[in-house]
Amino acid sequence: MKTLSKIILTMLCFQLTFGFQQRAQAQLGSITKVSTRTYDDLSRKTRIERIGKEREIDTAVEAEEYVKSTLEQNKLFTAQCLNDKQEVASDRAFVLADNIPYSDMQIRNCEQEQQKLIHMNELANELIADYQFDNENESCSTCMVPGAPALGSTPGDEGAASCSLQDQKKFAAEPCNFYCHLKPMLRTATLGIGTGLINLFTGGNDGCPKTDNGLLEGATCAKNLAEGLIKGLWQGISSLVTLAYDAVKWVAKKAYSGAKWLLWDSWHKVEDKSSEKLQAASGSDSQEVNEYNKDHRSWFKKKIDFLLDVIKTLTYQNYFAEQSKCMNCQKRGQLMCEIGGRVASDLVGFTFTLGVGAGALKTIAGKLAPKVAGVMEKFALASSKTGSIAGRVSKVVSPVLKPVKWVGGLAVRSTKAIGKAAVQGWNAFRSSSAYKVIMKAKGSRFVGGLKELGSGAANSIPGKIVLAPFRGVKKVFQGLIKLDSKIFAKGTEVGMRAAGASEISIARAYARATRFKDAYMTDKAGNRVFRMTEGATAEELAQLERAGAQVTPSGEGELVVRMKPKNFDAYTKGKFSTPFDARTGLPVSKDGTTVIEVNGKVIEKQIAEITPKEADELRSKGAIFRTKEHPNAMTALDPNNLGSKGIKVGPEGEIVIKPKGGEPRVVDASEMNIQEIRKLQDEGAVITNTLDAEWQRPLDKIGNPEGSAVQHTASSQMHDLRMDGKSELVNQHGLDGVNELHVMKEPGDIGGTASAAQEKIASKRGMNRAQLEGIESSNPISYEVRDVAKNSKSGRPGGKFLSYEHDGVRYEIPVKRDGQYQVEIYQDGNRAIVKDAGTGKHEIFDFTNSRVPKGEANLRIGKSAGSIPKTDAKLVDEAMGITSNGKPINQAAIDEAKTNLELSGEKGYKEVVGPNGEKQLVVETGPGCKPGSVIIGGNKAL
Amino acid sequence: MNFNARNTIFLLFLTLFQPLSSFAAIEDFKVKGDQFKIEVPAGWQTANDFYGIPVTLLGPDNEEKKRTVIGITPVGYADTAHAFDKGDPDIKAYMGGREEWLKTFDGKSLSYDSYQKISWPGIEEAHALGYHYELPSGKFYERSLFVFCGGRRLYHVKTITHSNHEKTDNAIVDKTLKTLSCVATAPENSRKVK
Repeated sequence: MKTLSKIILTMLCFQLTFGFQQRAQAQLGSITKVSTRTYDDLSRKTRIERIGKEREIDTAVEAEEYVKSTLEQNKLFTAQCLNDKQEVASDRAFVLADNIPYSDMQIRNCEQEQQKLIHMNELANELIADYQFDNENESCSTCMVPGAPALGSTPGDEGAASCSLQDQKKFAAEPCNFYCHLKPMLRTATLGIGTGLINLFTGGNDGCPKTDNGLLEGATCAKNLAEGLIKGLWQGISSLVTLAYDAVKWVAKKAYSGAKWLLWDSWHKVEDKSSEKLQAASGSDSQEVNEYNKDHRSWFKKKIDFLLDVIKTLTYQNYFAEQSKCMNCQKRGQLMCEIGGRVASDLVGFTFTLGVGAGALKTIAGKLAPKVAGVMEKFALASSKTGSIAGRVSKVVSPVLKPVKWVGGLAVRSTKAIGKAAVQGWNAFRSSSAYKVIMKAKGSRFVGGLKELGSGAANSIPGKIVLAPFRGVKKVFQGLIKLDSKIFAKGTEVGMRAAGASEISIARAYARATRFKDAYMTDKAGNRVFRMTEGATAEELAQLERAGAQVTPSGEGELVVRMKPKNFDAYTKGKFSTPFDARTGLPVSKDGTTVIEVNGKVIEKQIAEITPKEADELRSKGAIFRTKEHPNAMTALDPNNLGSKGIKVGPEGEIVIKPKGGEPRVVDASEMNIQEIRKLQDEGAVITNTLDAEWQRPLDKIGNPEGSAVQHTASSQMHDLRMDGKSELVNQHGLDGVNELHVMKEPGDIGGTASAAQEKIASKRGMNRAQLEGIESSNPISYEVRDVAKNSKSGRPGGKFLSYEHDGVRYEIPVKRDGQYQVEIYQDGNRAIVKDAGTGKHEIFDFTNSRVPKGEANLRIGKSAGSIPKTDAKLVDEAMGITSNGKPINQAAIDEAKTNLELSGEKGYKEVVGPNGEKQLVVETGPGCKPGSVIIGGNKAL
Repeated sequence: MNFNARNTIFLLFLTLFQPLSSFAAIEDFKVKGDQFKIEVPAGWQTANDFYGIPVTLLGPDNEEKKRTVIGITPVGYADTAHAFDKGDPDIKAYMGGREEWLKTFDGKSLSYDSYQKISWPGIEEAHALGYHYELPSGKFYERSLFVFCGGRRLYHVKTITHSNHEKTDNAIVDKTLKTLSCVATAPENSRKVK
């Protein structure tokens, strides 16, 4: 079943990849506006344009700049990293410029740099291809407009409406087309069977020009593009991959069926299969067999490589179909050839990450390859039918329209603006041996992320790192450094890129990694700048004004908002935080509901009405969960149910891991199990998600989020602060797991200046008043201490309670112990019970993720509401230890009582919260019990 | 001495010492409880479960990139080999199936072998069918053998040879097949022949 699940997941993820793109885009859009008009309401074109606009604020570069910079970086790499044998020296460092020493950020291991360059080069290739295409088809009015028909009336016209089989046969006779483009791919992907089975399906001639005039004779690449080559090839691949797995099974089952074996009806299949297998084996050379014998698994993976190349073809299908609308039949045939040459290193990495196994391979082959065959066949037959093709594969493929291409955190735009010199320069480089050497490692999985040297990170890079003498590189490319920094400043997308992630994946990572950055940019004065649509309500504008924002119309139908950083932080704090229900792992709206979209239906339910089992079932059905506050793609992609363990998975199914003292990185929640997360937490990592703004703040010198009021300190200093009589709260929990001092504001001193005591402590730690002011404004929560009487029924001790209000809810936390403010830990050292003064409802603070010492003051206050799990009645009951008639009042007891009631015919009862916060089951209507009777949970047991 | 003369001597030298440097090796194969031996010709490769074939013997690489291959699949115990008992299997059915298969790949049959019942030391009986066919990728000779050994243990053996190598490789394949013998093991759930 596990394998089956993986298969389904793999298939699903493949399909969702494109959904992610849309959702990522939707997320990006949703952040920048506060209007009632949702991002999804906009047309696709508008959305795409808008994304481009929003990101152009300061992250976009021109395509020409990108190509040139990539070219220069390739040159630097060639000079520094290639040894005399034209190999990449693994023990050598790559330095981006030549005035050593540089900052650590500019120095990498050559192998790592190579991985980065591969990705950059691929994008440069795409840009050049787009440039060429754009320049060739400027006059084509319907090109790149999905659904619009091709306009040409004859096969020779640009934008031919269709290419008949007859036409295709004619074009199939052109000098090698598809197969010759495919052939290098087969080799590089080491399909192995390339010359074996491919020949079987495509003809004895290998399909490439052999005669002087370049024309192929007889059965050339195929009898015709649609039937012979495409269909035959893909079907062949499909059967090839499938046949590798079924031999023993079918032989045993089919060949020997009791007394009637060798019934020819069955035996034919045996003969067929064995012939195909032997044909495939026959086409495998010694090297491949050696590889197979050495490592079966690796061999199979190479097969997957190829299959994924096919998938990549599918993913670009609509894009090519659009392009083909501006071509005549001949060009269309050539385009078909190029399609085959597109290699899918991105999806390889993506799919491998999901752990594609043998079973998945078979399923992919069985399900996808015929689909590919169908799509390709259709495309070849008549690209005027792109509309129907798009419809047919709409769940898999989104039209690829890219006004902006992305690499890392950098947008590259205006492909038409590439100058001829840059194009020629690039083409020259592409034909160089250096390019081949660099790209040779394409598709290899790079494990571990692109770590920078220095700061101890060098230890993680195997081998001795030496700086190679520079050969002829004298110029410092400041622009290059800038570009490089833009692309690789963040660790998150680097990790994905290293794994061969697609542009889409990177865009997705970008959407996560720069969730807030994407929403605002920083102007020269240091203000945070973001845009919102003009549909903002008066209330929203007033809120912005109160937050100190300067709002001006952009002139493009948008409002430009500028805010000082501290105001921005205060304004955004909590705005994007979404609480998750600890019991089900689902996001919860403020009114306690969750919005579920499943199979196209949207249902709103109270979270309390959903059992964990139901939540799991909904997840397995691919349900999307939203909150009212976050209507856009509030997806609980949490297959490992981390939410129930207190790990809040973000809206894209992500979690953010911030290692102790390190940069945060974003990973798929599906890739992490709770054990792995716990281990990371034990090592000091903080686990959060992209909805929590905390993690993405820039780090200060000591590795803590800047302006988060976090300073390392010794406990004695904390004691000093406690005893100064003015400061009210300290916190030993820091983001990197080290004991820290969180200086909070004084009671009633909201927005005021720092106290003398705070300054005193702060000065010891190097903080100044301005920083303290920043601290205060970033923690807009007031605290006070209340005396609470002991509750003899619940066993809750009385004493000092810390009381504060957040998001309109008042929390009370018992804090008094032995003269010091500490959180009382009731049950297990990881959970504290708090009471909502407004509702009287008890809730739990779960500190499991905080990695705080047991029994220590470990309250994390001032963080987003997302860190506070909603009430889990069962946990509360267990933790509170409330008893009634000697029986614990927990959910199990309630359930048991319910069952007994129902068995006895009693239906009229309800669950209520008792005067002490305990659960009660109360009779409402009888008939067997008196209405109002407390069945369980109080003193009036039935 | 001119080049040709030197070359001739060198080739002669190689020919003389060739038997010393290349020799076949008898290898044991165990497949799901079954065990058999076969002599692997010099310069050939073997692989287990390659493309799902339990045991594959592959001839040397060649220019056509179509190696000669022997695939061996232990099927299990067959207590009713009567399909061949009369010495006259339904050859027409066999031919019909092959023709259908060839259609799939735009191929055509060239000729069919006569059914043969053969045996060799260690092998009680083997039933052979075969045919020549042409695919767009070339001409091939393919044989299917139903080999019985050690109390009705059945092996399905298939061979394929590109037409360009028939002259040399068919003899090697024949010789190799006749080294096939099963090792006396009794797989679980096996049934004795009546």
